[in-house]
Amino acid sequence: MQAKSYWSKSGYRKDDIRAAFICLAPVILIFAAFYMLPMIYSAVLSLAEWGMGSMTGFVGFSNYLAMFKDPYFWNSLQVTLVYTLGVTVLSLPLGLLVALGLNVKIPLSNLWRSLYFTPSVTATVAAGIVWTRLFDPYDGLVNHLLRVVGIRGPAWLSSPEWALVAVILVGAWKRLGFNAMIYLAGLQGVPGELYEAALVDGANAWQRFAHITCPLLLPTTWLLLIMCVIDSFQVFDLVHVMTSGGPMSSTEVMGLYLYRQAFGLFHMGYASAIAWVIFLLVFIATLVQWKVSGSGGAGAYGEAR
Amino acid sequence: MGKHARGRSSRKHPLWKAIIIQALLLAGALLVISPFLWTITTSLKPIKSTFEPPYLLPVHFVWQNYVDAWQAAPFPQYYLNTVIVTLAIMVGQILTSAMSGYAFSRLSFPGRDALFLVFLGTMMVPFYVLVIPLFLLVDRIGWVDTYWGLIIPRIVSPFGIFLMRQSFLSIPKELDEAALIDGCSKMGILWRIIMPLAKPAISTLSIFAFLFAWNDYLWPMIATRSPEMYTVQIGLRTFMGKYGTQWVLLMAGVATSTIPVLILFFAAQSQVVEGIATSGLKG
Amino acid sequence: MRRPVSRSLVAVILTGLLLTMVFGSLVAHAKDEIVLEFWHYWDGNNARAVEEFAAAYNELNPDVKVKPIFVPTGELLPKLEATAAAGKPPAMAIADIAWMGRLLRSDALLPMDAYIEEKGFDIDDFYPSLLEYSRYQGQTLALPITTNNLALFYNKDLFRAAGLDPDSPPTTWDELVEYGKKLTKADGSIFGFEMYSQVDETGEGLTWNLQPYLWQAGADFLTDSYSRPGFNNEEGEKALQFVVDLFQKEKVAGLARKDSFGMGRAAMVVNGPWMIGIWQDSVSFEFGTAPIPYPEWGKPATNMGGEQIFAFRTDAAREAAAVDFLMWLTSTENMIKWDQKTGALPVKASVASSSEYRGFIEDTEPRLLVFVDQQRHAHARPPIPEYADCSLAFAKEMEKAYYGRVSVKEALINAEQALLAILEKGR
Repeated sequence: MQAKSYWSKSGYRKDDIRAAFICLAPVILIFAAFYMLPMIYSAVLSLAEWGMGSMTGFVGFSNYLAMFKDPYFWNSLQVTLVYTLGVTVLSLPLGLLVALGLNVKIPLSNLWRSLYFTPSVTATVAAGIVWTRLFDPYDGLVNHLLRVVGIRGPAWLSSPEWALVAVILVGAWKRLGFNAMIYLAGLQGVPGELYEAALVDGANAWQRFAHITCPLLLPTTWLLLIMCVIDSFQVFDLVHVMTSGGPMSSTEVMGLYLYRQAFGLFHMGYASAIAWVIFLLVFIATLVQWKVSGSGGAGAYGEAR
Repeated sequence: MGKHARGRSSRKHPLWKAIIIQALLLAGALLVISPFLWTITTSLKPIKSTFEPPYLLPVHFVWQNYVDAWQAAPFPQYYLNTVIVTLAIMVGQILTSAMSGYAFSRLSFPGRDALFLVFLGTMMVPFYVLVIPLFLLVDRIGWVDTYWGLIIPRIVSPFGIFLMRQSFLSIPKELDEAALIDGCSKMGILWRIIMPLAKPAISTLSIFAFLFAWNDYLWPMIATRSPEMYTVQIGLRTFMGKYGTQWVLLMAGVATSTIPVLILFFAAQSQVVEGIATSGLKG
Repeated sequence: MRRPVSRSLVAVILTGLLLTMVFGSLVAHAKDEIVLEFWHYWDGNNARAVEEFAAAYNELNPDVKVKPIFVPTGELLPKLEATAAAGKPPAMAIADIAWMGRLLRSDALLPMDAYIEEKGFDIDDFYPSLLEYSRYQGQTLALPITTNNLALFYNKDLFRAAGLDPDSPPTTWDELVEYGKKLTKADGSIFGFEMYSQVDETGEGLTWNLQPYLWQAGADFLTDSYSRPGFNNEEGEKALQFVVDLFQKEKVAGLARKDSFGMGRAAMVVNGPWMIGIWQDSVSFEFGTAPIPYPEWGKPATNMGGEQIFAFRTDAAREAAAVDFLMWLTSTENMIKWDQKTGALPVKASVASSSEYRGFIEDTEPRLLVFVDQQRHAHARPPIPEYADCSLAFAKEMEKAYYGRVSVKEALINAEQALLAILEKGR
C-alpha cells in the first residue's frame, strides 16, 4: 500500500512493463503450475466426495456444512489458536530479550547467539523425538529438573491438560533463537546516533527503549508476528512426532486433524474443505496485520530513517 | 516481560551489569541446548542399559552405537540429498524473490497490486492442501523420486517475495533514478544497485530458505520413494519407524542427523550475521 | 571482506545447481531389467527376511529385480492410494488386513486367478478365514502372507522381584489385577500392566487392543453381518469397566505410555508375536508369553492380525513377474522358511502341520506356541470399507472413558451413536 504513494504517476512506462515481464514471467509460470493449479484442484475437491483414489461426485457445500457440526473440528480450531497464541506470546518477547542481551559487544556474544539459534536449525523430527523422551513423566529430564527444585512435574504428554503446554514449549524453543536473530539484525540496524542524541537529551534507559528501540523494531516485530502466526497455525510435524494429537484430542491441531481426515480416513473432500477454512482464517489474520504494518509499522520505520 | 533497555554496546554498562547479563544469557543458552547434550549422552550409553535417572554429561562412551546406526541407515546419502536440494531451493528462492520483489516495489504495471495480493494470499495456503494435487502433477511430469520433484515446486516463495519487496522499498529511490540518468537499464538497476544494497535481506532470506528446505517434511515424504532419494528428515523418520524401541540407537541416529548441520551452521553463522550487522537492515 | 563473501556464495550456489542437474539426470536413467518395487512397512526380522527372499528370487531370475522398499506404517496406505490414483503404483505391496476392505474395492489391484490356475497354485491351502481378506466379488486380488494374534508378554525379572512365580503368569482378569498391583511401584517407575491407550493417527491401536476383552466378555464390535455395533450391552459394559479400572481404580496401568514394557517399565503387556524378535534383541530382561487373561465366566479370545500381499495393475510384463514372485514367496516351502525367520504364524495348513515347522518352534522359540495355539480363538475385524472410520470413532470415545472423563455407559452409548452414523452413511 505504501508503494502506491511512492508511485503516484499516472500511466505505465514501457520499460517498466518490459522489465516486469522479464522478472515475473518465470515466477508466474512456476507459481501457476505448482501453486495455482493444485489450489484450484483442491477447491474442486472440497466440493466433492472422494472414493478410492479418485473423485466420485460433487456434493456441493455439504463438506463445509459438515464441519460446523463436527465437534472435533471446533476442538482442533481451538487447539490451534491456543498453540499459535502460546508460541507467539512466548517466543517473541523472549526472542527480543535475548536479542537485547546479545546486542552488546563482548567476546562470547557470537557463541551465545549460535547456541540460542541451534534449535531452529534442528530437524523437527529429531527435536520431536528427543523432547518426547525429555517429557517422560518418570525419568524425563524435565521432571527430573523439577524434582530437584521440589516440584512434582505433571505427566506432560500423557496428560490432556499438559500435553499442549509441552508442545507449545517445544514450539517456542524452536522459534526463540530465530526470532532473536532477526531482532538482533533489526537492533543493529538502529542508527547509533539516535541513541547518542537521546543520551544528550538525558533520556533514561527505559525512555530510550520505549521511544527509539521499540518504534524502530516495529517492522521487524510485524514481520516476525506474521511469520509466527502463519507457521504456528500450520504446525504439523512437531505434533505429529510428539503426540499424534492426543491425549483426548488435546493437541489435535487443525493440520493434524486435516491429515487424519485425508490420509487416515481418505475423506479428501472433507479434508480439502477444512484446508480452505484454515486458509481463510490465516488469510484474514494476515491481511489485518499486513494492513496495520503497511500503514503503521513500515511507515514509522521509513520516517525514522 | 522485563524488557529492560540496553544500549548498543557495553561501554554504557557498568561491569557488574554486563556480568549479570552474561550470566543470564549463559543460563538461558544452557537451558536451550540441554536437549542436545542429553541426546549425545544417551546415544553413547550401552544398548541394553536399564533406565536410570537422566544426566546431561556422558559417562559411557559406546561409539559402537554410531557404527550400528550408520550401518542401519545410509545417512551420508541422506545428507548428500538434503544438501543438494537445500542449496538449489535457496538459490531458486533468492532469484525468484528478488526479481518479483523488484517488480512489485519498483516497477509500475497494470494489475501489480492485485498480483502482489495473490502472492501474499498464497503465503498462507496450508501446504497439505496442495499436497495431493501437487503429487499428481509432479508424478505426471515424471518427477517423483527425482531432485527436480523435490526442488522445482519449492523455488517460488511468496514469503521471500514479500520480504524482498519490503526490503527494496526501504532503499532510497533516488539511487535508481540516478542510475537511470547514467543510462542503466531497468534490469541493470536490480542487479547493480538494488541487490548489493539488499544484501542483508538476502542473507535473511537465505536463512529462511535454508531452514525451510532443511526442515521440509511432508513434501519429501510424498515426493520420494527409494531410500536413495530420502532427505535427512525422511531418513530419520524411517529410522524412528524401524528402531523406535531402541532409544540408544535412535539417539545415535538423531545426533547423526543433527550434529553436522550444527557444525556447518556454527561455521557459517558468523558470516551471515556479520553481513546483517555491518550493513544493517537500513541498507 | 564483503565482496569475496558474496562471490564465494555465488560460486557455492552455482556448484550446487550444477550438482543438482548432474545427479538429477543420473537418477533418471539406468533401468533395463524388470524392476519390481515392493513396498512394505516391516522392520527387524521381517525386514531382513524380505531382503533375503528378494535376493534369492533375483538370483533365480536374473532378468527381474525385486526391490523391497520400506515405507513407515502410517504412510504406506496413503502412498499406495496416491500413487494408484496417479497411475504409478509400485509393482507389489503388503497391507494390513484392516486395510483390505478398502483396497479390495479399489480398481487398482491385479486379479490373480488366471495366473493361479495356469501355475496350478494351491490357493485352498490358505486358511479360509484369511482368504476373506483376499477375495472380492469372486476375484482373488491378494494372498495371505502373515497372520498373528495378540497374547500377554510378561517380564520374568520383574515377576521375581515382586515375589511372583515367573512361570505362572495371570490367567484371569482378577489375577491380572492382583499381579498388577504387586508389580506396580508407587513412585511411577514401574506399572504392572501396559495397555495401549493412544488414539494416534487412526485409533486402530487402541481399538484392536480393546476388542479382545469385548469378545471375551461375550460382546462384539460389529454384529448382524457388520451392520450395527454389538458392544453397548451388559457384556460390553463389563469389558470396558474392567479396562477402565486398570487405569482409574486399580491404577495398575499408566495412560499414554508407549513402549513401557520394552524399556522395562511395565511388567506385562499385550502384543503380537513379532515383538518376540524385536525384544529379544533389545531388552536386557527375561520375558515369557501367555494367553490373554479372560474372566472365569467368559471365554478365551484374541484379535487376529496379519498382512496380505498383492500386485497392482501395471503393465503385462511387470504384472506377470510380480504374480510369479508372490506365488513363489507364498509357496509352502518358502512359507516355512519365512515363518522360521520372522516368527510369523502360518497362513497355510500345510505349514502349520509340517513337522519341520512344529519341530522348529519347539526347539527355538517355545514362546511362539502360545500364539499358534491361540489362533483358534482369534476373531477377525470387520473387512468393510467403513472399518477405519468406525475404529477411529470408537477409539476416541473409549479414550475418554480411559481418562475417566465419561462413564463407561456414556462412552458405549456415544460410540454406538457414532458408529451407527458411520454405517448409515456407508449404506
